[in-house]
Amino acid sequence: MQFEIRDPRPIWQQLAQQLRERIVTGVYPPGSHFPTVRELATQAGVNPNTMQRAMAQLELDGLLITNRTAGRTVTEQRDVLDSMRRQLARERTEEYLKYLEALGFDRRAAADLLAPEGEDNHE
Amino acid sequence: MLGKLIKYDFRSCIRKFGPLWLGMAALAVINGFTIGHVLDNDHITGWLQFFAGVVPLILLIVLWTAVAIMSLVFICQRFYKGLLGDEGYLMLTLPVTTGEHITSKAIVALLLETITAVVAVASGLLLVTVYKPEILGEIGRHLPEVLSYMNGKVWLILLEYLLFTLVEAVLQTLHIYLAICLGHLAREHRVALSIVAYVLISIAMSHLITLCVPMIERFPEEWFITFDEMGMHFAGFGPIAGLIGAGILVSAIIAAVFFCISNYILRRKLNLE
Amino acid sequence: MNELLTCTGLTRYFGQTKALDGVDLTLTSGKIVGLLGPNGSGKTTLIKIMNGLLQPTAGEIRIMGSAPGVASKGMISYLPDRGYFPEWMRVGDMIEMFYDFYADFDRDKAEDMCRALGLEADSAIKTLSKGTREKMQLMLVMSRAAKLYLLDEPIAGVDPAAREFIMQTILTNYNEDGTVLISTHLISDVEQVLDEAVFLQQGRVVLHEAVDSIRERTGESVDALFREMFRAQLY
Repeated sequence: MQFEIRDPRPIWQQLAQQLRERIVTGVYPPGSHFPTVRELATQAGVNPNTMQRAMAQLELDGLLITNRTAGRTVTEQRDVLDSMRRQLARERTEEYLKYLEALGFDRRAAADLLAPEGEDNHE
Repeated sequence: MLGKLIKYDFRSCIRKFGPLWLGMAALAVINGFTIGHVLDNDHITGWLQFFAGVVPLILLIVLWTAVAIMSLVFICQRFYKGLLGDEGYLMLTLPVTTGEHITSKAIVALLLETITAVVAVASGLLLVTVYKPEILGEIGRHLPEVLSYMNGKVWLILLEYLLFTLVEAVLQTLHIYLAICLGHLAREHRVALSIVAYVLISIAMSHLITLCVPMIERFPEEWFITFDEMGMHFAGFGPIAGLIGAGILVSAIIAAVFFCISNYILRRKLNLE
Repeated sequence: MNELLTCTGLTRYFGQTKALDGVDLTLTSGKIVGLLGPNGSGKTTLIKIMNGLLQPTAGEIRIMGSAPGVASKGMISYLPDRGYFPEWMRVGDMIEMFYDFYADFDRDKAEDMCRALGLEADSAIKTLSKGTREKMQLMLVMSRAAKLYLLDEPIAGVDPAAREFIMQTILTNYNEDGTVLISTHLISDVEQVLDEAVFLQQGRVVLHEAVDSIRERTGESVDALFREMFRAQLY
């Protein structure tokens, strides 16, 4: 899996976003060891300070727990993970809706497109 | 740090001249075997004699000349390319002073000249030894006789003269370095201007010497030579030692001035392309 | 902050041309800084002054409190924009030389990296390809735990694969307590490794800001901002 830095947002935000996705999709399972700043920075080809900032954000989110001795681990708290999962889903949905709005679909029409083919969402 | 610089400057010298020195010695030995064809006959009579006798001798002379020229080129090149060419980006960012760089290069230049001279003398002896060992024996027999004329004072004069030669050699090297540094001050035609600078410095130095000559002429003659009913005598140790000493002093002062100007240019006026 | 290097009013003329025009710049420790500007904007001149290869015409430069000299040269690891190997040397000579002169040189690291590149200690440097020589030079420079790395155009004139190798070598080897200054006009390739960007235009510092702060403030990548600011000179 590759980190992608392609939009003009601050780099640390893009890294934080992609790390969150990795955690909630189970690339780094709950309770597992999280790689070090240096490892991830090398993998992403970014400055360790930037990666550090992204990981600090994940600690703030509650996704990462820092132990004094054992480095960082992924949280085992289901509710934290679930709420992050929902937040990411909501963000992506907003993007989707914004895009479709630009294409001329209102929210209802946009939602209709999500229905499985052949099924009708109207009551 | 100076020692470390010398280590690498000397290593570059050995890589190039080591084989040449060995070649000089080897050719001398070969000539020791073949030179008889030339020396023991009144004239060259056949092709065989020509190839066996004359060709090795020509090769030996060519090699000696080549090594002498290459030494000079090496001294110029190691300074010009090693400090003021692309290599300068490496050397001049090492944590050493520019003075240490100049010193190291000058010491290795002196070593190169000394070793080459020693190898030349040694291969001459080698040639003679192989050709006619009895010549060496002859020299050995006469040596004590020659040495008996030498007293402590004469040795001292010889030693002083050797020192003078070394100081002169260093002065020559620093003369070259200064010329290269002065050429570096220009932005273009640096090599050509270095040569011009070299000539101008030479002219200035010869003027300085002409200025000194009247001073020496004013010394009373009897300082150097005395006459009595037995004929002419050298006045002895003091004045001659003094004269060579003065030569050493003057050369050393000029060398120090050259060093300081070169060092100033490298330190303050450096502008690598 | 822990100041590593300060320039005040740094100016350098070459004849009548002004290569640097009153540069004020402060670098702190532990950063990767991009020195960004089109060709001829004074990047190389500034770097040469920092490592003592050039004297400023006016202004002052301090590296950890003192002017460039033997002490600062021992703390700076410099990669020039050209090959500098003496032609008589072998790979081993070069490693030994760095080991002899730089107290912060990690000889094992350099030897490992050379081995990974397939270089033998006794290979003559002049027989190596230009690309290999460039890589070896970078490895030597990055095998030092220097206070300040000055990398002049490390990725100019190489293909994208080599660029990635170079950036990875820098990232995985630099001393994190030190600062890395990378000069380049190829912003998109280095932007994501930078903490800070310094824009140099006609010998003046026109911008010095954290990369993420530039992105936050302008909503643009540093690369895009650079292209906008220097359009006149780039095309």
